[in-house]
Amino acid sequence: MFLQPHTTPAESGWAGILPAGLAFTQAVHECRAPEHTAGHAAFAAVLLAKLGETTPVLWVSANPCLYPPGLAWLGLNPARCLFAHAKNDAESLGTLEVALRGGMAGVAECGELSRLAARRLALAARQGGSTGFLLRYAPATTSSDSTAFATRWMISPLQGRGEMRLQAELLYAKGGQPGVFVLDIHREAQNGAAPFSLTLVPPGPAEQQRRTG
Amino acid sequence: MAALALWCQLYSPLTAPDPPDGVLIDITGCAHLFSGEAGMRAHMQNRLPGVQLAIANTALAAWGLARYGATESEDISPLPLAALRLPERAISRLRLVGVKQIGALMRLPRAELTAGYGKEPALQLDRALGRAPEILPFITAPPAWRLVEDYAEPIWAPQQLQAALERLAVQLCKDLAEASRGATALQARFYRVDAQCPEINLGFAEPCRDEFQISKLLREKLQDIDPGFGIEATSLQALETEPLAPTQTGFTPAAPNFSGPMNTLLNRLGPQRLWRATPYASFIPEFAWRRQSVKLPAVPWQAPRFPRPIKLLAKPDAITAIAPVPDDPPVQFVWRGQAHRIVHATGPERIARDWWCHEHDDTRPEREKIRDYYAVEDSHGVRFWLFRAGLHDGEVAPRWYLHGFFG
Repeated sequence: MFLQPHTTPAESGWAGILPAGLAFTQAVHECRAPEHTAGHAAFAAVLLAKLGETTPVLWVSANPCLYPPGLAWLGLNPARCLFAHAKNDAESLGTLEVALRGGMAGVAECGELSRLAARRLALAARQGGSTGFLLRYAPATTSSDSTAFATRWMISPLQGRGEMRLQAELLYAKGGQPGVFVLDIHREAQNGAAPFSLTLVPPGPAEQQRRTG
Repeated sequence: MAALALWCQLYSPLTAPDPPDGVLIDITGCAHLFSGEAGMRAHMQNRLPGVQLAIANTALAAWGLARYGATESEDISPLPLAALRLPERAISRLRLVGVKQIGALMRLPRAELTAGYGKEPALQLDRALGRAPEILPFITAPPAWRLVEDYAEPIWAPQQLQAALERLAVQLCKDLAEASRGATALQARFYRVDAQCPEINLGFAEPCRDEFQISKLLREKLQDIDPGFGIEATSLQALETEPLAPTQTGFTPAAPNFSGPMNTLLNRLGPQRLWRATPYASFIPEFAWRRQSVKLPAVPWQAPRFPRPIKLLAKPDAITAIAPVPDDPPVQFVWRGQAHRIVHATGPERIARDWWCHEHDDTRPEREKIRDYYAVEDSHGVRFWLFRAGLHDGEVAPRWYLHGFFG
């Protein structure tokens, strides 16, 4: 398994947007956000909108409050989406695993996550050739986290003065360098193919200093 | 009675509960499976001790024989009139003229019987003799795609049940493939020795005749089945089928097919907990979409013209806000005990209540039929979707609510 190089296929639509060398397709990504924010869901939605036009996306949660018109506003077609209501975290992880193994893209919300569950999800994504996102509300502690996932992000709100702007901190990346990025989601004025574009901008030195200081 | 009638499908697919204390079974063409009527009788006596059995040519005759008849006789003429299910009044009137048995009733002239005692006695007599039709409420119409496997000895090991289901699934899929059909609803039933009949129901998002998938789904649900003291027969039936054309494989690269995981999810979660979203023509945000079954095709969406949050609270949460009058966004609001200072706001987007399709409801937030929505950003950059219900010079003071999160 170590012989397979991690590549980002050009047709995925993510090339040139994401940091080079990240294995983004056929893997599971963990996105975290502070309590009472929804930046991680927005992040997953814009990335999945870029992924393809036809692959179904399963959104599963034990407490579903996702708003389909909001997905449409972010550029992800809700007609592609299936929504599931799980009884608990274990069932939502199991549901995500079925979807990933079957080749569907999937997004699940969960609280606690065992290393075994993470490993199973990663295997399912690789077998099914699909992309999964795991959304968690948790403080960004990485000491006891599994490294089965391709990346782990902390998505925090960032002042945008009306623009949709998020800070995406890459906490862990398989074959990549962690760093802090600014994610701008803005609606292009002209009639482009995609109504949204996604730019990951490395922060300026001042901001870097503020973070470390 | 309904449960017992279900279990009696072990003997024949056509069974009807007969309240308060009976079950009717149409055993036409089924008795030879139990080595004749005597064998079937013995089997039933064995399984249901103390049961009163009767086999007759018509349902009504069997009903009477089981309750009033002598054993092992199919002659209904010596039975009392009550065996014809006649009303009390007719029986007492007939008894007055000395007619106490069905045989005596049969000898009465037909025209005078009808003239003197109404249609009922003659009709019931005809039904018992098979001259008039009788409608029986059979619990299920026999499905066209039904396979049954009987066992000489009751089985209960899960491996045996699993193997039986796999055999049935293979045969059913073969039959379906010959007819170019796929099942959309499947049911497996287990006829237990103690007159219980647990079942497994499967639903499919798309017609399916893949025996591997069907066996897998059945295996997942088999753990909920309690075999009790043993299972005598297993049936697998396709309750609903749809045309499914055979596909050519290996000619063109296969289009991605997601029916496999969809069917698994549908059977694990059930149709209530897996849905698609369809747009609905309403300006009220919480009514702008509806749940739809995954079996139906997806409906295309249009991108909304105004910002919509990615998460919407099921019920708007009341907040206390400080806002300049009359129409400005709030400067600060308190939600769940925490104050948020607002640095940027977009809006208002005014949404009127659709009074023409919703009754007036005092508990709903917009008592004055108007909501002004603002997308606001607090000093940490968290984006909320707030609205003010009511106007500043309206009947009641305006109220502020938090409705969603952008990110």
